[in-house]
Amino acid sequence: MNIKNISLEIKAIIGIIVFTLFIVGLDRYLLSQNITNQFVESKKSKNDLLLNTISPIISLNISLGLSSSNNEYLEQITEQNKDLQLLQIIDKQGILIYNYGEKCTEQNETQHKNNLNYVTKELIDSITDEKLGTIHMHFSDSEFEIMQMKNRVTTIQIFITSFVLLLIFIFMTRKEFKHIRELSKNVLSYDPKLNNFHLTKLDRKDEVGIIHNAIVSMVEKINSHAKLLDEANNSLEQKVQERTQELEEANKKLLQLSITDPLTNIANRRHFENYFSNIWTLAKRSNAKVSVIMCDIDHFKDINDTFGHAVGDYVLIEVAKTMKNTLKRESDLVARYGGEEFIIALYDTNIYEATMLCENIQNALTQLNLFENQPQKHKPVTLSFGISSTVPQIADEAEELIKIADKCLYEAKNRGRDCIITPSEFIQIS
Amino acid sequence: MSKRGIRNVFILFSLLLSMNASNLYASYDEDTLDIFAKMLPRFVLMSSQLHKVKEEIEMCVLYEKLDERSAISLMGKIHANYPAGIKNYKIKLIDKYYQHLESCKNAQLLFMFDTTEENIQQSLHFAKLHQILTISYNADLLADGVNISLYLGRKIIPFLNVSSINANGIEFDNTLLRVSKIYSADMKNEY
Repeated sequence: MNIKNISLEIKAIIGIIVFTLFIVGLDRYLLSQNITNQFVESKKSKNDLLLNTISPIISLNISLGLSSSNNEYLEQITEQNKDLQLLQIIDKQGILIYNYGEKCTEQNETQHKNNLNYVTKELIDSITDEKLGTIHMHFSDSEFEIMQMKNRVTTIQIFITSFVLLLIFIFMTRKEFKHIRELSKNVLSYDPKLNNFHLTKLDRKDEVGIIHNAIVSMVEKINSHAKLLDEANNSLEQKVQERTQELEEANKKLLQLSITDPLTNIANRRHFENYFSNIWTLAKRSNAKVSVIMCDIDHFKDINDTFGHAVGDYVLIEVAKTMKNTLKRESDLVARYGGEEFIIALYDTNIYEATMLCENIQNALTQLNLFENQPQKHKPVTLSFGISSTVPQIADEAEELIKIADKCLYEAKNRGRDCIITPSEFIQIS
Repeated sequence: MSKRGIRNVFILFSLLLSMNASNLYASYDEDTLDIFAKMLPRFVLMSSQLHKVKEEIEMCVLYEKLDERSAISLMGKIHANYPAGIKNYKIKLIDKYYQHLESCKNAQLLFMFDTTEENIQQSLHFAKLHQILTISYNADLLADGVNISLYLGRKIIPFLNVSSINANGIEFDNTLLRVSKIYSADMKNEY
């Protein structure tokens, strides 16, 4: 039978038996000690009793001069007490007057001292209190030795049995605890990502084997679930990435839509206002010039009326494209301000440079032949420009510069369109 | 009857008389007397007679004139054994013929040498009357009611007539009882 297949319950029972045996052994040992003590006491009592019984009789016989009576009496005593090894009576002159047996060897001197098998007493005349002699009695300690030996053997047998069983129990439990420690160490260090659980199923039928195999099964399940989870995670991550990208693009588009005029695909008025506010603030800080160009397509209503709104939209788109293409700097922004009206914000640009830009736009427009496919003839598309420029001061408002440009545009319209009006020209006229 | 015949009859009678006398007044063994000498004062002290002792142990030795020498010898042995008395008690010995028994009325112990049956009975009656311990040399007297004698067998031990001791109202130390042989009527021919 394999020790590993023994149930923990059985092992626990063995442990209890070992413990019980140990306790029984201990109890047996204490009991034997107690019995030994009692034996010693009883033997002492018996020896003392015998001595105290015979000594007055011996004393009396001596005092009465009945030595023959004494001898017979003592012979009876030695016959009745088989454990008596020596009985000596020495008179007061030190002469041995009765002797039975042999004197004890020195080996038993210790026990003599303990009064276990050796007793002595002075013989006293009960009437005169005169010392008559001494009586010495030695008793055999073989009974005591046999009892001691039996006790020792039994106690040693119990302790050896307990010890052997204890060793077996310790061996079994140590093996179990070692296995459990190894198992728990593996479980604690287990990381599903690293898949570092290296124990395999065991062919054990006991509780430890069942727990071990259950844990191994559980780890296998966790591993397979972790694998599935990883795959799901990877897929989800990819999807999230894609969705994020789409969202970002959508946001970009949305942002673009929110700042872009849908028809002309250039900045709308709101974006312009935000942008212009920013460069206005920047110009205030850097003491730079800011210029604004407002322009309007001349006779646009007439175009619409002549060719329809689709052509009108086409004109708007083409004009916006032309204006955008004309701007060379990233910081320059053209926006549809409303209807056929456009606005350009120019940072770090003076009025002269703005005028040059307007002329460039006019030149570019002349290159366009927007109505060549139309059945009816129409004058080429032109723009009227109003320009304003300033170095913004702390108290200045951006709207003021736009208003000035608007007034200049208005003046350009009044002057017959297709022209560029700056505030200096406008003031002279005013 | 012829003169010679008369002479033979006389010799035979004399011989018979002498045999009776030797039987009645036997000689006493000195060793046994020695043991008695040791025992007598102790018997007093080991019995309830002790209560009667004031300053001295009074012991009366009764004998016939024939045994005077033995009686004197016994008393000499007692004095020799206990020259200064025993246990602070002096020993007073009274030696009397049986006819002067009255002088022993204050004694604690009567030691009786052999005598006639009549004297024995008188003495025992007297002892019972005055609660005196009686000890005889001859163990046969136990049958008559003497309290103590000696058993002279393979060993020599005190021989106690417990019934007569009880009748006299005397008590003994247990130890003495343990070293003694107890007399009973059935044992009459055993010693």
